[in-house]
Amino acid sequence: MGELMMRKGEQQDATAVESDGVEILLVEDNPSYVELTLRALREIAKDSVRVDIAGDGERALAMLLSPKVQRLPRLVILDLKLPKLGGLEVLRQLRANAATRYLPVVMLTSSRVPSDVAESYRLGANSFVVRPMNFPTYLRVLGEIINYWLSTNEQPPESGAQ
Amino acid sequence: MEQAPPVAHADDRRMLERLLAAFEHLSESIVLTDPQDRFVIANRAFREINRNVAHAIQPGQKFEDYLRAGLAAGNYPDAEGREQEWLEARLAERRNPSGPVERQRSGGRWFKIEDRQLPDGSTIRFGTEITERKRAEAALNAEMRAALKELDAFTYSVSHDLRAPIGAVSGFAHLLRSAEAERMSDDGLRLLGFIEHNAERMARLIEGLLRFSRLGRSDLHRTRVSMNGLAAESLLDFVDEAARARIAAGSMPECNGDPALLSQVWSNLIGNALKYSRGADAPCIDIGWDAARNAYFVRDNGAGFDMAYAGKLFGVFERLHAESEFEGSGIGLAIAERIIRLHGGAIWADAAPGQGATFWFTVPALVNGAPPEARSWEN
Repeated sequence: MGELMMRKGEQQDATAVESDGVEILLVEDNPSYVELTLRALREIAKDSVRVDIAGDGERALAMLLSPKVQRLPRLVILDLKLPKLGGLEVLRQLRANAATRYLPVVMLTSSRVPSDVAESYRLGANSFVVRPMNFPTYLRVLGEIINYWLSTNEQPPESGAQ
Repeated sequence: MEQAPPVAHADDRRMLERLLAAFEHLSESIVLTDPQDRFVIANRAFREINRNVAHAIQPGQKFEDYLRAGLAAGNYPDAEGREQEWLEARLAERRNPSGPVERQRSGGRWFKIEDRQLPDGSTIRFGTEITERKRAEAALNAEMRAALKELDAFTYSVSHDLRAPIGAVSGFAHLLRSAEAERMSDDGLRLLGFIEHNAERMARLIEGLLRFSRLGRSDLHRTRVSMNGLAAESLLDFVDEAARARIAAGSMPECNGDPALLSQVWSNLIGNALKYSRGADAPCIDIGWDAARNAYFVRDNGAGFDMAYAGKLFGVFERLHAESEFEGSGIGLAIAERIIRLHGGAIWADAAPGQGATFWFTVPALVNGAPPEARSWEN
């Protein structure tokens, strides 16, 4: 698999440092959407984009906040409705933690309930994207997210910076 | 005109006393005024209700002064802040009574009031307390609104839950086509086409349902609206289709409504008219004001429909034509109906198969004034 490397977090110990050196952490519990999103990313990404998957909120936090994490992903794509810990709670904890306070988080969800959108931004989401029902549109939207967040070379401020 | 029954007995006086006693003890409030609208007599129920303005309902007092005293005493909650306007409206009604009216009094009491003018020019007023009925109605209305709101919230959340799986179906169908089409048999491709078509249709239905449920929670922002302007704007959305039809718009009165929502009504009705007249030899659409029906209308000379199915016309997802004939999600007229109902108006249609269709709708509370310039579009 040349362009796109995928590793599934579910298969490993959640506390391991899976996300080191990975561009995107996809937090998504629906296997259909995991598959669709990975395939979409494969169609979009010209260069190799490495993706890790967290199947629920707790796993996502373990993968991002573990003291063993050396390098954070450059982007988290976070679903809103997740088993156990919901997407909003994951976001809140990421923003409360110095190491992940400025980690780019894009909410990607089928919901567009106004209160969800407002709450996501209030908690510090960088973007809220409604997953289109039409696949070509999904490709385009995902392409724009990747282009925007992975093409900028800006480094997030030092951990713990206020 | 009926003659008063003659009182032919020697004990006229006794009879009169009995009648007065009956009058006095009726649970309805009754008050009689002379041709100059001055109090003649009022029964106990009336005096009871107007205890706090007792000085103003004595024989010989003017009815207008009774209303003024009531205003000063705060008896009429609906008059608050616009006392003069209220008084003038009541006096106008008094001069030209037209059936019973329901009026609110202080303390949350409601009365059904009816004035009747007698042949000699005097006026008799009957009042019946309807507070209980009003309360029950208000409770029922609140209950109904709450139930509707709940239903809308349910529709909304269900629509969201449906978006994800149908998005996945359409996504996988797309991937299957782009990766495997070359290896698939013709029959397999045909089946895949059905999957794609239905996924797309489902997505459209869900979008429609979402738009529909959003309406239930929207508030009306009423303002003075130029219906000619709205119809003209809606036509701009259909320039391509409209180029093939002859479209004429007559002069229409302005109305008091929510321009964003009413614009949707025009859009849906005009869009329908264009769609269903597409097959006509010379598609022709009329937009205007029907003075006889006090209603706006959109008429086309297209496919029409059988009035036997008119009851299904405004239902959600109801369609009177096969999808292969005319595309659509079956939500447009349901949305139009809901918007008009939110405005307190009505919408209805008349049609015959192959003879076109006319849709009328009313928006009450028309703004008085000259209708704007007639405009027409000829293509």
